[in-house]
Amino acid sequence: MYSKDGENYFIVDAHVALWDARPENQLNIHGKQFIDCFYDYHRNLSPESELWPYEEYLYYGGERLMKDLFVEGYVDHAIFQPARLGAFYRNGFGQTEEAFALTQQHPDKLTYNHSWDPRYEQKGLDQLRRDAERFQLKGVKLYTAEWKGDSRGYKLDDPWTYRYLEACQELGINNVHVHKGPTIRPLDRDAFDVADVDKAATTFPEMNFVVEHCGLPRLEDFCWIATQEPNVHAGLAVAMPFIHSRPRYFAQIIGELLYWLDEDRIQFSSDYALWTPRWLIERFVDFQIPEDMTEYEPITLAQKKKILGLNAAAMYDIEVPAELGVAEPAVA
Amino acid sequence: MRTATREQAVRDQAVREQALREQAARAALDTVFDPELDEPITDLGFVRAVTVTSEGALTVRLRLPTSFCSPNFAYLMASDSKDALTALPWTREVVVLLDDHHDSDLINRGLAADAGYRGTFGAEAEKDLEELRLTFRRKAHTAAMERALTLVLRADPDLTEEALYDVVLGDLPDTATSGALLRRREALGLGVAPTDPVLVDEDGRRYPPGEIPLRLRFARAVRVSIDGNAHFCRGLLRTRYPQSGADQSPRAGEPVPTGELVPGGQPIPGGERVPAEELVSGRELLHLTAPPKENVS
Repeated sequence: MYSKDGENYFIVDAHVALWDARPENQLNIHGKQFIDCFYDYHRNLSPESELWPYEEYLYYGGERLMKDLFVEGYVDHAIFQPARLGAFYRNGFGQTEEAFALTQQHPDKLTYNHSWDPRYEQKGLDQLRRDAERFQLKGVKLYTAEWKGDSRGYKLDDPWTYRYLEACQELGINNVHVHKGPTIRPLDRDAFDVADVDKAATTFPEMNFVVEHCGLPRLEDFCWIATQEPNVHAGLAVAMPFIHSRPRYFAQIIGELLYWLDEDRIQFSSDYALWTPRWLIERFVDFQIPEDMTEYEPITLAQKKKILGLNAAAMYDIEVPAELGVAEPAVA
Repeated sequence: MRTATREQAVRDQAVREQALREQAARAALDTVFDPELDEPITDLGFVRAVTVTSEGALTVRLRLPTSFCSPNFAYLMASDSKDALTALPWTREVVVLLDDHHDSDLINRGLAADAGYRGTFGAEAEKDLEELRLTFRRKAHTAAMERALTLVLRADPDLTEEALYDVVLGDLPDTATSGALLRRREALGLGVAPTDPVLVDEDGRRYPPGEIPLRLRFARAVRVSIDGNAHFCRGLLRTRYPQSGADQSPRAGEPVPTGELVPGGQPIPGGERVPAEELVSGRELLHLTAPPKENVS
């Protein structure tokens, strides 16, 4: 919980990771390139006081995660959204066993989402059923630019993806977090295009599709589909830290999202450990749309509360103390 | 000592020749755009080095903001660079190298062999990248149209958004923003006559007046997205290559048209290029006429 000026905010960090990118876990040069890319994001968008040394950034472990999120970070509940990256890291990038063990130790604080890849076809589908039971899954994280053999990406409207989504629906895994990356098959297409999310969201109207980093770098395409599909949501991973480095751009992102979607379909996330939640939450509570941006309405207190936690809490059935809600409940 | 003087003169001439060729190579690269960011790769700081040997062999090294920039766009910029450089009358051997990318080996091999997109990416390639290019030309046009029409609205507070239906190209002021729109229209094959309507879709069709506020709103989202990406990518490049900041030109409301930026490639000691805006005074005017940009923060 975060409190300021007599207001209390229930915080759900909807996208966190426990990764291991140390050299001994890197399979090849791409493992190093990938974490270096993350580290440059971190260096480019963080305030100087929040910069991590590179060594710590490679691997930080569960203890530090608990401290950064729940002791120092005001977070009430966080959701693991792991990326496997099996082509880059020996034991994967997201550390399944470590993250799941933490979740079991702190079930009130952590939710573990797992990932799947439709290109494993029937074998992966069988695995998904076992994973759903073991992890008690409510959600999955899909990184569409995962490399596998000679394919470096898949789409949400591929036939096998639909079979996996059908299985998810049957298993009660209703929250699908979609993370678009730079590669797709075939490479003729724009890998960041979200048209496939549109199709999947239409086909599976009872499931929620949370598009991470709110479709960036294709904010406009995301807004266009989200305005038409009520089950498409915006995750603020990557978008949040612009609040420091480019506050006017951040205002435009929030302004566009509030215009095209609505305040019930936007979820805060630090994208930990890309960034830590503490400073992001403090800045967001202080944030306002600049007065000269007359094309956007000012952001309200209720909107901030929903974005910071109530929306994701509603989606994941996370209990919110009565006094921390808003008069009009979030509807996810 | 006359012989020595003559030798010196020949050497000086050779050095001048090389400098001019390097300058010409950079001017050729000014015509290569990042399709996503709608800016020349030179202004973005993506050109890491240009070297010309006395025999006329030309090598260009490119760098990008991350190892994981989309490989299809990376390939487009690298192959467009090779095409632009090969078209220079004096070039014989042209080598374009993309540095530090996850597909550097693949792309550099493909470029060296002139293998084309399909030859480079093999099974991952289906047809070509023309549709991808077209998609981003359309986005660039939409953003340019929004910039121009926002200026029209700001200049006349009584004008309603619906009334933009009647605004034609001839109504636009003679500014860089209007010029940029005309070039984006030409790139899409849309009309550029003074009587042609401004607010049109990708095929040049007008929207019904009732739809205009929504269409304008969407065009703004496109512009916000492109501008935001451009600033982020520029920042990431500077984080990754701290010395690259000196090579970047500030993002204007629109890129400087081809041919007006020729002096931008003056070589200076150490091989770093003088940022174009320090040499081209007209560049400042472009900044003034561009729509208000986000504050540098």
